[in-house]
Amino acid sequence: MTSRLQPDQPHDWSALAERLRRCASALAGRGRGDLADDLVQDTVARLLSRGGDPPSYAYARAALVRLYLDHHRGAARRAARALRWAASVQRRSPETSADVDGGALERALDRLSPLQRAALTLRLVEDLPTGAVAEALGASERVVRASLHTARVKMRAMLSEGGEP
Amino acid sequence: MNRNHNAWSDHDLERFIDDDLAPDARERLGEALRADASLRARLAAIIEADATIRAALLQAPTAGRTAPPSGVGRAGSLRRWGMGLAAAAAVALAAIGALRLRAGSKPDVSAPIAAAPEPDASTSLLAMARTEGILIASAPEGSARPRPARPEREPTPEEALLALLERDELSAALAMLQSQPSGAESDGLWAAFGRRLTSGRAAQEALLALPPERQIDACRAWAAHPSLRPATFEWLARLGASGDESVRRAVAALRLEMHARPELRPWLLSYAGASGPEPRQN
Repeated sequence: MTSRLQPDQPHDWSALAERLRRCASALAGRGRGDLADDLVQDTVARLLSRGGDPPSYAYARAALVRLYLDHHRGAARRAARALRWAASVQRRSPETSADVDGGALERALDRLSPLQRAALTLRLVEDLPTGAVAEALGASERVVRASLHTARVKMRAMLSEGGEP
Repeated sequence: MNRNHNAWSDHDLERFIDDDLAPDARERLGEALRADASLRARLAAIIEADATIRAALLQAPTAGRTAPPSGVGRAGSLRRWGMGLAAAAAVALAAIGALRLRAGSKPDVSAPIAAAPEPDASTSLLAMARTEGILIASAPEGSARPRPARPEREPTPEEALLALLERDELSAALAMLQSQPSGAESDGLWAAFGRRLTSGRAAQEALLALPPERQIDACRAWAAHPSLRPATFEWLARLGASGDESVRRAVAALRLEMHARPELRPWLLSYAGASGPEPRQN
């Protein structure tokens, strides 16, 4: 609702970047400020390269989300095995297993697919309706509904069990 | 699609929260929610979980019960949070569905708003409460004796209100609430009053005795308490559909005020189209 009630047109590029930062942080996750910064900077750079005034926030946000998904597609292909190995080692380490706090929530979020996380971010953080989420993700509304439901089920399972999803 | 209340899936409830149901399905689910306390509890649990997920995405704690426990960082805190969620849902269920009041400083309970004041509404409420056993009993069980006098100082407004409730002087309690100017102290009194009610119906009946502006005051105060929110927002939606333009304006102003509080936004969204149950006709 916030984004619906606020003016969609940012005053300048810095204001646009500032608004994008929250969405980027939610997408990138805790402790990945560098990725969030990269996402914002790449988004702004792409938009700047097209010339003209700052676009609407909705347009810029859609560009940011697409960059995030692109990043994950490439990164996932390159590092899927390494990440799975690292995650399995992390799960087994006593230090991590004792840290069942925000870490558990964050790990549960990390286990969502990029599309699911992006859908959750756009729905719960940006408060977009399903149609706008679908538009931003370049997916159908049906896919968005399924992604949101799956993501919520996983997260609720983690919350109710107080552990891993 | 869904013929009875048990047929509504979590996915349907999520779509209700997302305002993504077709109008007819939304209307049917709204009716089911008004009729089925367990369904409302499921809805409340999903909304609470959404708030927690949102907080995690924003990497910031939320306010009130929607926030993870302060023990974040300690082992088992999420398990406790999960239990807290279940408890919150249970309280929400009790707040709306139960018709029996409990005593003492037990869970907050809420209530909605309604139409015009009735001259003898509080009297009839008290009579109904006594005959049907749905209200009030503010004194803890086994402590029916009056409180010892405290001559050394004047009682605070909250103490005075509670004393009235303990003596079953509901008319006087409601008059006192009406006489309070809006503000932090008034909110505190409304919250204290809400804590003495354990039934949404009881709270509804109490509010029926008040003019709409006081009902709005109660909504403002009770929205701060998660267990009071389901009934509060249900009745806020009903007030928003009032035929009185001044009431509608006051509700709109309150909604704008609530919109500044992130923990209330999902409630505003999910009750945006609800009109709430009909008030009792005296």
